[in-house]
Amino acid sequence: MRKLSCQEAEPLLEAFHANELDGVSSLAVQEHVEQCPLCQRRLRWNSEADNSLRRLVEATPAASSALRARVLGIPREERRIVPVQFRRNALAIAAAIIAFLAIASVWYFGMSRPAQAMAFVENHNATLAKSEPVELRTSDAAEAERWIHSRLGFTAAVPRAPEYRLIGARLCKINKTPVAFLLYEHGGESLSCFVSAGSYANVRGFDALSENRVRTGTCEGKNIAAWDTDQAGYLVVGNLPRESLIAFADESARNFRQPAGPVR
Amino acid sequence: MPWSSHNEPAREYAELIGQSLDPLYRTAVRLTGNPADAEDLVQETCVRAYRAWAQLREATAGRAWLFQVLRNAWLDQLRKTARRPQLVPIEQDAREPLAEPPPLPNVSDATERQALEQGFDQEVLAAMNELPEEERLALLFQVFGGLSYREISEALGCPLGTVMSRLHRAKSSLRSRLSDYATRQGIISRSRAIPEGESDAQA
Repeated sequence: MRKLSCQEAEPLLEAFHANELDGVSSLAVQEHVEQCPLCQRRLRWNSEADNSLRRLVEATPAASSALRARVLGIPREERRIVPVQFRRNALAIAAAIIAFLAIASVWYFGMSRPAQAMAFVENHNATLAKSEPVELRTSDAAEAERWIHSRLGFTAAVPRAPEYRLIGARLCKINKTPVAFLLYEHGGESLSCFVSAGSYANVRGFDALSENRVRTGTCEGKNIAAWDTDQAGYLVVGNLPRESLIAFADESARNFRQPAGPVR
Repeated sequence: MPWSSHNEPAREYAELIGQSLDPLYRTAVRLTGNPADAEDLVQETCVRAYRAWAQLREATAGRAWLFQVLRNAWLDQLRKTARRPQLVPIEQDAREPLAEPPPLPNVSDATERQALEQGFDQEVLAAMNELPEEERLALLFQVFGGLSYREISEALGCPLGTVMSRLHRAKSSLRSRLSDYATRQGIISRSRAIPEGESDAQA
C-alpha cells in the first residue's frame, strides 16, 4: 500500500475520525497517522472540537412538548384545511356555473329569435280544440280592429274577404309575444289569422313566395301563408290549399281599409 | 394514534417526525440562533414535508429528506429576510500549505479544565456561525442532526466527496479557532518543531 503524505492524509482525517472512510483509505490514513506527530495533533484537536460540539448538543434543548404536539397535529390540520379549500373551490365552481347558466339563459331567452311556423300551427290546433275558441265573438271587422287596439295597443286592419267569414278574436302568445288571433270560416274549414304589430318575414318554415309577395309553406299537414303591410304582419293557418290562402291575402289587400281606431 | 390506521401518509409522517423531531429542532436552534425562530422553522419544515409526502419514495431516506426540506425552508427564509449573504458554493479545495498545529494544552486541574472547555465551547459556537452556509449546514446536520455522510449528501444534494471536503474545511476552521484561542489565552505556546516521537498530552 502506498504511503500517504501529510497533504494527502490531512483532508481525510475528519472522515477517518468519523469512521466514514472505506477500508483501504482508512488503513492508509491510520498508517500515516501512526507515523505522523502533526496529524496526531490534528486528530487530537479534532477531538477537542468534537468534545465541544458534543457539549453544545447536550446544551441545546430538545423540542418542547407543545412543538411536538403542533407538528404531529399537522396532518389533522391539513385535512381540515384541504376540505375547506375544496369547499371554497367547489363553491367558486358552482357560482361560476350558475353565473354562466344565468348569462346563457338571459342570452338564450332574451335574444330575439324568429318564431317557427310550427308555433302558429300548434296555436291554431289548440285554439280550435277549445269549446270557446274566441273571446270576442264578432263578424264585424271594424269591431275586431277596435278590440285589437284596445287589447294590444296597435292598430291593424282586419282582413276582409267576402268568402271568408270572421268568427271572432282572441289574444294569444307566439314566442312570448302577444298577438291577435282572428278566426275565420271558409267552406266549413277554419282559418286562423295571426296579426302582430311587427313583420312575420323572419318566421321560418316557408318555402315559396307568390307574385304578390305572400310567403307560403306547409307545416304538420297545414298550409300556411304570411304577408306584411305597412302597419302589421299577418300569418294564416288552415286546412285550405295554398292558393286559397294566397287568395285570402289578395282579397285582404284589395279590400284594405284604414283600420278602425278606438271607440270615441 | 390520533388518526385512523388507513391514513398511511399520516402514520408514516408521525413515525418519521417522532424519531427526527429532536435532531431537527436542535439543528434549527443552531441555524436560527434562537428557540422561537427554530420552532417556526421546524413547523414550516413539517408542514412542507407533510404536503410533499408523495415525493418521499424510499422510507429509508426519510431522515435525509426531512433535513433537505429543513435546508430548503431555511434558505428560503434567508432569501426573504436577507439576513445572510447569498450562498456561493466553494467546492474546490484550496490547497493552502498545511498549518502546523500547536501541541494540545496540558491542563490537569479540573477547574482550569472546565474553564478551558467553556472557552472552547464559545469559540466553537462562534466559529460555527462564521462558516460558509453550506459548510455550516453540513456540520450542523452531522453534529446536531446525527446524519451520516451519505445522508448529508442527500440532504444537501451534493456528492459524497463534497460533503467530505466541506466537513474537512469546517473541522479545520474549528481546530484553528481552538488552537488560536488556547494560544491567545497563553495556555499553550506555538512550537514550530515537533521533536521526533513527541507525544502531546491527552486532553
